[in-house]
Amino acid sequence: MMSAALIQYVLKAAIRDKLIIAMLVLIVLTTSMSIFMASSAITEQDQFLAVYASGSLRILAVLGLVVFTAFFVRRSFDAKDVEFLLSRPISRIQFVLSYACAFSILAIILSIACGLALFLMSPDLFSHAFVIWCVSLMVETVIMVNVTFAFAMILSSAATIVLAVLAFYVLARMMGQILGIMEAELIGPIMEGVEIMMNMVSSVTPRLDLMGQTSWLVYGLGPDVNLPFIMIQGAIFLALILLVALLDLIMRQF
Amino acid sequence: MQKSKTIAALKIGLTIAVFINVLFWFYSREIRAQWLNVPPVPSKLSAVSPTLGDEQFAARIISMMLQNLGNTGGRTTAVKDYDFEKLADWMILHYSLDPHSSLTPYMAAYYFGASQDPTKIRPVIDYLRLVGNSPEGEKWRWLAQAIYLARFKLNDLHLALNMAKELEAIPNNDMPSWTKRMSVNILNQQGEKEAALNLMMSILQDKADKLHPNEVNAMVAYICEQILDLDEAKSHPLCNDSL
Repeated sequence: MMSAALIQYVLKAAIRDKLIIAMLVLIVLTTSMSIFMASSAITEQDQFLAVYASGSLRILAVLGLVVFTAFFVRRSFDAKDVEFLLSRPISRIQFVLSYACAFSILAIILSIACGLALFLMSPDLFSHAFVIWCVSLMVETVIMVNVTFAFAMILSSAATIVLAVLAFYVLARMMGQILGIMEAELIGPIMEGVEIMMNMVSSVTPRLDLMGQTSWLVYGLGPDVNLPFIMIQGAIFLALILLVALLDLIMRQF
Repeated sequence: MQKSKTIAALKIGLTIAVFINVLFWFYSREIRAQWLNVPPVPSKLSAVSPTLGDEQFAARIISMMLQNLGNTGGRTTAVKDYDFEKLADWMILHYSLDPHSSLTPYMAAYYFGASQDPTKIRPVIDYLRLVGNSPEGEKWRWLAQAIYLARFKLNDLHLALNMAKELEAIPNNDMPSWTKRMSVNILNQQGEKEAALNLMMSILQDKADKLHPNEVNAMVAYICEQILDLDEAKSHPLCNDSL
């Protein structure tokens, strides 16, 4: 179902585009900045360090992967690379799954790098919650990189793709807050239409607010989330978004 | 020929632009953005938006903001000049995001609570009362701090007594025995300074091993610089190292 050559092609492109080296440099800079910021706290410096570093690395990993994926896929279409690849004995399904697999491998590599940076910065952080945080970051980045891939199949401008994916990311990260407001019935009857709309949107939006929470690194895992939840959410949303990408490519006329 | 004229004109233009910028700098370099006191408190949703819904991250950013409030860019602001109502609202917002952290209560007790104008600290006391009314760990000490501030800084015996009764009722078996006699201690007739010193020393002696070293240092500094005067501090064994 997947082509090893295509996966290799994408991974080589990431190295050629200096994604890996740029992200490693940014991880070091982000971690250093977190150490600097945390050291200025008058107390609880360790907790500040864990929260600042993990929160910033999480956003950095997602941003880096989104930008790379959006520009890489659009460039592939604009330079007719996709048409060329599809003229070879590669099916469209094989193409989508291979690209998705390659982007997911990149996401996992960068998530491991983020986890490693956190561990090297503060080895005391290592715990069950830390491992779950790292796994959760992997799932989150895999989701986001595949969302970007799907958006890049549909939208034609790289800048628009990045903005749309980041809007989706903010929505997915804020979904818990939005649902909480609706649950508490803090909005008036006039907003009932908005509530119905938001419920529909939330049903196809992953609850990223429940994943990779920085509080896990300070106070341990909360009762609201566990490993099966993270894995199941990742799997079902990944299936949804890959089917969207597949459908788009199969219906596309070159 | 035409090209060299254009380049010459551009160079003159660039020189004039640099000169105007330098002139403008003489005017603007002394201007500082005004600090309009404690900013309005956002809703919880607005507070977590910059961190994309991460409540712990938002709480840490707010506590760092509170730590540096009014004292950035070479500016220093006297604690008495803060808007204490808004300050307490920020602290309560922080508490709603992270009820476990001790940083903001620490600032409320030792920094904002040491305001040059004790009449303004009531909102801070209310915040410490909220945080201290928890059976979790060592949270009770913030209620003890609130009692201290109400009794000896705000001079509100009624409020101090009410909070003392709340402290006695906290279901935490790890609390030292003096906390169970708090209302009696508040009412006793000993000198105010002596009573204040005893209260702070009790917290310090019973729990110093469980507190962050920075918090212990803050308590020592508070005792030596706020409760005792310079001569008393010089002769007090606790203050010998810190003076």
